[in-house]
Amino acid sequence: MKNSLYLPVKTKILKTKKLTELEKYFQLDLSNFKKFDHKPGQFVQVAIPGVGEAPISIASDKNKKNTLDLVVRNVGSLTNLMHKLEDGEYLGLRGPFGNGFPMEEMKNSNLLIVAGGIGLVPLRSVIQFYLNNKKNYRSLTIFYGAKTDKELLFTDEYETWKTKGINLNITIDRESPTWKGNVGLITTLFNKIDFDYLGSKILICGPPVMYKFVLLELIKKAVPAKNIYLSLERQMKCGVGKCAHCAIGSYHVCIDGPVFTYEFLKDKVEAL
Amino acid sequence: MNKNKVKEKNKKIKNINLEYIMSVNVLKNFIEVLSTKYKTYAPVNKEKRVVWAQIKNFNEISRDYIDGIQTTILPPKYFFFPPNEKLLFLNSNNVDYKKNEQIHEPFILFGVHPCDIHGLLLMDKIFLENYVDDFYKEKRDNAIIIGMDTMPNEWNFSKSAGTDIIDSGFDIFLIPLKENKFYIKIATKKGLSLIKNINGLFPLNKNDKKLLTEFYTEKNKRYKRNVDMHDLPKLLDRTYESKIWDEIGKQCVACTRCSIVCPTCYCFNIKEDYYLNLIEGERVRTWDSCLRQNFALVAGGHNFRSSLKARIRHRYYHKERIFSYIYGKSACVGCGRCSRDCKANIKPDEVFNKLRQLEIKS
Repeated sequence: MKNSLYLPVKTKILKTKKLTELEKYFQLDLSNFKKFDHKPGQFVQVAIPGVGEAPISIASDKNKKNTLDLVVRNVGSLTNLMHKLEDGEYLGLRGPFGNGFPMEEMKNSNLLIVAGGIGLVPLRSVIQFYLNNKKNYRSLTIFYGAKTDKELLFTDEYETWKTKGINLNITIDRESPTWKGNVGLITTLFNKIDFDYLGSKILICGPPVMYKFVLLELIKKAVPAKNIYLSLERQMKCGVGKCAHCAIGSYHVCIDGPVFTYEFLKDKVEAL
Repeated sequence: MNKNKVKEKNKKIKNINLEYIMSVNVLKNFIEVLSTKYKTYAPVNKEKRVVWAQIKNFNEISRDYIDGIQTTILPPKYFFFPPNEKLLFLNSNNVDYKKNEQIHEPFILFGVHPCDIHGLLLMDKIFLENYVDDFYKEKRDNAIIIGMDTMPNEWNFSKSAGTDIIDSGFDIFLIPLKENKFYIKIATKKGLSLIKNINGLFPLNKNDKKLLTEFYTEKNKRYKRNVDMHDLPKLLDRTYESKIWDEIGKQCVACTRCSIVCPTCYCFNIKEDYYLNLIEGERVRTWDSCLRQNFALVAGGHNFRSSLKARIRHRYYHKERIFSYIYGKSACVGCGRCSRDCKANIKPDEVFNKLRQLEIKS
């Protein structure tokens, strides 16, 4: 058995771009993979030899160029080194892993994306998927919150999103002289924006603390728990349901998730 | 091989069920023959404890193990999922990884206790279902399991856990009987090929059957620890907020020895190290434990189980509750090793009993 579950594929970095002080964009060439069939909301394990691996969300939908987008925040030893990598350099890649968002199940619905900070990264794969399959969905609305306007991601894509009919609503936590839009936590958007919460599918990703407050808003609006999809963060070491670092009970976020319905999560302990 | 073929193959294997009686001298000869052909590992005495070691003859096997005085420090998971395993070689200049191709040859695990075979079958579910772990599988495929029933030791509660009896997961199974006899059961083709040239196997006569019954009567009598494990997942559901978890959280010192000796603890960590030429290196996986402080820490700094109470409770719930919901059985096989080696004197059978008693009282 020459191949291994744990063997990364050498992958070329085609393009990089610094998005904010902390976040960097990478476009990767998937041509070294025999097959790489990913769905919105899945993740990969990125490796740098000598440093190790970390789970990173996929930020793009499938495309003809056979490339993959990642956006990485510089928070640990691997991501710090990733930030020093430039166009034309290589890294190791395993995946795709996880279930992803059930886009099939959500067909013919209004979609609401609720994203906090880098939570927008995995949801960008959903946005791209939506744009590629628009006729299958009724609408897409985005609630996106960041600490400051300097931390907003994918700013050069907002105009395209809007012209293609996406209802984009952004709020930042603190006032800023360079920002003219909404100010306040993401939960404040729920009362400001008129939206058909009951007949929609809600897709959420953000820091753990955000889930609690967003869920409270959705419960207030009587959204059925089965229509709420949350993408959870854990530090997966293997990505394939073995190492148990991401265990919620005996469920593994890496293979049973990272996307779960609130219906599934609400009676699970230490999940949110 | 497609799934149906595998099923068929397993069915055929299961059809073999030959039972014989042999004298201890025949067994001694059998082991000597086996150990010249295969590396044969069995429980042996070492510094007042019992460990797995390669043997050449029957007399090396720990008498304490057979008599149920004590079991091995480590469960047989050690052979398939070693505590420190080199997975990949790396080259940081070329951004290149290569699998650490290990050389595998068939080997024998002699004397595996029924509860430990149950443990191995549970580990198979983790490592061989969904994504197949190649490192585990390569070793597992090469193992010949010779199970052996023994008297239970003072910590063992496998009868309560329902793992005192085993009907699959071995090639050959032995039971030590009185009158210097051994019962031997052959369960697979592999097992059949091993006994091919052994003379001195006899069909069971009336007296042998009596000796077999006596063994089980004696074994059942020797269990000192009994715990009502029926309905355990639901009991745990009902007692999640019990003050017992506060008490155990205070008692536990997170030494992780329970995880090391547990036949079904499989958590691991993966890390990479440079060799001293600073170019090459290796990726290693090591045993880990959910009791460690940072086990459920994520990059943003959030720790999903920061208190020791939450971590030890998770260990129990992972093993007993949700494992049961997914695989239909609890992952605790009642071997008693964690009770034996706990620094803080925590014993799972006592924990289960306490939870039940407290529930009855309230």
